[in-house]
Amino acid sequence: MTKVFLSLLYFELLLFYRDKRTFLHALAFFLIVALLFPIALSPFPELLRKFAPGIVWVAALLSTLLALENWLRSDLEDQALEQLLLSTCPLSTVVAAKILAFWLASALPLIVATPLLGLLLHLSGKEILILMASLLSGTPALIAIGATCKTLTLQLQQSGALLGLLVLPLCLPILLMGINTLMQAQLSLPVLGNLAFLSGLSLIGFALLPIAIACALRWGMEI
Amino acid sequence: MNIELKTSQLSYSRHNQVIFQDLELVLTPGQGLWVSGPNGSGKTSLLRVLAGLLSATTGKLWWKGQALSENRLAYHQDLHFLGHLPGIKNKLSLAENLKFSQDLAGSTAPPEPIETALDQLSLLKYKDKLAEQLSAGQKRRLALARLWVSPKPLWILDEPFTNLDTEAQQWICQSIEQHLQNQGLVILASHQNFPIQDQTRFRCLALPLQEEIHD
Repeated sequence: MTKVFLSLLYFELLLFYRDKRTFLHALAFFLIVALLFPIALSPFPELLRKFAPGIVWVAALLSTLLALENWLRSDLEDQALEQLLLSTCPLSTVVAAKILAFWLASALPLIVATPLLGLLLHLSGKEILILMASLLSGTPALIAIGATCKTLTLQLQQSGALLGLLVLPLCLPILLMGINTLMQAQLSLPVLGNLAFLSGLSLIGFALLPIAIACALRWGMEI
Repeated sequence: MNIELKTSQLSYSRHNQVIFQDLELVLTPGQGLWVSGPNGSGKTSLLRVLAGLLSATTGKLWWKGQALSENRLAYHQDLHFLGHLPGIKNKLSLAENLKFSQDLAGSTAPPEPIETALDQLSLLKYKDKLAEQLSAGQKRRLALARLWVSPKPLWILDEPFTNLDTEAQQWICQSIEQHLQNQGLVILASHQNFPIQDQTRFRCLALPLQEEIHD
């Protein structure tokens, strides 16, 4: 089972590397959305610093939503999904490997690019680190929830708007907690509790949502 | 252990339409089943139910004396299913595609070398090329190569002859016969006749065309 998990992870990442759309589109979208706010709101450093947590987190959420368009898309197109459903290891393990690869390919680049945005939004070095830590512990949960919703709408032709309606409300608690982390840091309050809570949500999401996705996939074959 | 595929009163219906009903089937080692019938007669649905991709409306499916619903993963361990689309990853090379399916198949039998399988299907010279560069027929060949890289007793093949040239068709027929001689089981759906030498091993299950939909 571990061998299948690692092999899936390797080949998924190889596929993401060969087809760079997933992470390049999400990354470019993330940077552009985050840069729109300083232009639209105001260029004053103190205001930007105050709004920075919200700006970066909303941009991360929206670009996750954009990246989710690619979730299982190619597997559905070439029917590799059938082979995954017939694999000898439990479907939830297969799905967990795919979510992990998806997170590595679509969310990790955003986190790596965050210092750049932090500088543009006048955050200090410590604040940038805390922002990155909050994204690191919160985005896996975003991806897991998003992947579950995307799987439910997999058979629909135009699922974009519906996906947004499903994913955004469900991700609200994570968004608030993530934004709150940096705000607390800016007020010199402790942030470890927040980070632990976000990591906990991510771990629960990664452990339990693959089971839901596996069920959704099996039902999806019946339609 | 008794290797056999058995169904009892297997029925499947979708959208209020009965696709097949009360199917009683026993397939033992060395036996093949040819599911024939015109387009829309439910060949693919039957194969997908037999592979466990769709769940039957009523009835049960047994493999090695165990019900599929209770022992899905053990069934998958023994099963090769080839759908009407090849299920090839375009952005992986041929060798990578086969390696991937080998890993996923988790076959207990020792795996065949990938090169041998590619060579048999005259694909060896494209080994490190991306699968997107292949033609439809070559992709089909690559999908068939999966059957060899991880040996499994039960093959369920949906229209395996689509897009294949005569040479490849003959080759797959020979392989099916060899598999049956090695006490394998084959279920294949095809609307056309195929050049199999030893017809005695094959039984034919002709599905009738579906009637009009009744609400």
